[in-house]
Amino acid sequence: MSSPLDQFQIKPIVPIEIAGLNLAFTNSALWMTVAAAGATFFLVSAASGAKIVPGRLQSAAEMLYEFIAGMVRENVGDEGKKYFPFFFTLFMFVLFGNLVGLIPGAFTFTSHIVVTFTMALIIFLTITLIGFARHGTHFLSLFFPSGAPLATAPILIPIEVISYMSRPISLSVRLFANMTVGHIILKIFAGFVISLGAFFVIPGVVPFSVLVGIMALEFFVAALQAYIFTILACIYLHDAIHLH
Amino acid sequence: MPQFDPTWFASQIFWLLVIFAIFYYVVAGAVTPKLGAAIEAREKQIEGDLAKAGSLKEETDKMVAAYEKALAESRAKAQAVRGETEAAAAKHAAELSARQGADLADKIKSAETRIADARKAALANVEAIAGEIAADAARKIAGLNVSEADAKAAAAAARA
Repeated sequence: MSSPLDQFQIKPIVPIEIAGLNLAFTNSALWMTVAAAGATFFLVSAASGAKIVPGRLQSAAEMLYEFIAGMVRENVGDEGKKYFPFFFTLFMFVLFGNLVGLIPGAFTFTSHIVVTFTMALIIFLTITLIGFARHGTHFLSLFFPSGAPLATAPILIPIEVISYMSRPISLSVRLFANMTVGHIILKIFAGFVISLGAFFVIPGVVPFSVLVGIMALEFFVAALQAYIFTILACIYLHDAIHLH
Repeated sequence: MPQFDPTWFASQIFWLLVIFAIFYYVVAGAVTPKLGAAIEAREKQIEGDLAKAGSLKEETDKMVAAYEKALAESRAKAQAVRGETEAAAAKHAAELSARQGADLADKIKSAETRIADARKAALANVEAIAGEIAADAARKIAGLNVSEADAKAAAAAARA
């Protein structure tokens, strides 16, 4: 029996090495492609024939569009409008990555800390740059709440800086840990079904029914984590634009 | 855990950047503008239709008000015409009855005169006949010859 961690193993499909860097096209890259291609196929076919009276596909795509548009409007404000395509892409990418990972035998690229941390770091750096571009050095006032006594500065500023710097970590670890743990649990229960069901059919039903329930839960988690990932990015952008 | 194996870090970061960039290019270029345009066009159409419906309703209200005003006006006019006609008819009837009354009074008057004349004539005859009868009676009963004029005078005296 394989370990529940085997599903996270990266296997090279096309070995590529450029300038001493191992850039092999792996199963992770393959499923990233599948997720992005699936989302692209869905969105492009929904948007290409966009009509006043939408069909099913267009309605579904518009629901997602309005969902993210509302999220950006509420959490960032009107200034966030021009960043909307980025947030929409981010949400669709994470959502499809999470959902595609639930296909039995598929690889979940969002269960890898490198991937989630890279996304979080890009968001963090971009938002910090936007903050400096909008406010210049005044952006640093983000680290000292206005109205606080000056004497508290030596304590408050390090706390604010640390909390700001830990944002990409908490953002990436949240998604990575949720996806990893969910898939480990699925694998463990699937193992129970096999080991119990192989000898006695009836006892195998018990972990199987639990597995069905957890599978449903994992679909919910897949959508929820994509939502949380995107809304936190929105809130970080809000801070950079409005400074608290 | 395989997640912390640095062998594949570079590969994963590289492919993430490549795939995400392509995906972003497609979504921002071909999806969000079209979906946004479709949603906006729908909102605009609904807004336009609502505005049109509102203006049509306003127009209808105006027409209804105009209709009601015209109805009230014609009703008042009809009432006035009816009043005038009634007054004219009443006047005409009064005139007619007054004229007829005058005619009738004339006729009654002339008839009365004629009756009075006839009575006078009749009475005169009666006097003459009474004188004759009285003279006859005096002659036959008393054997007196009384002139008719005397008898008349006596009859008149007796009657008085």
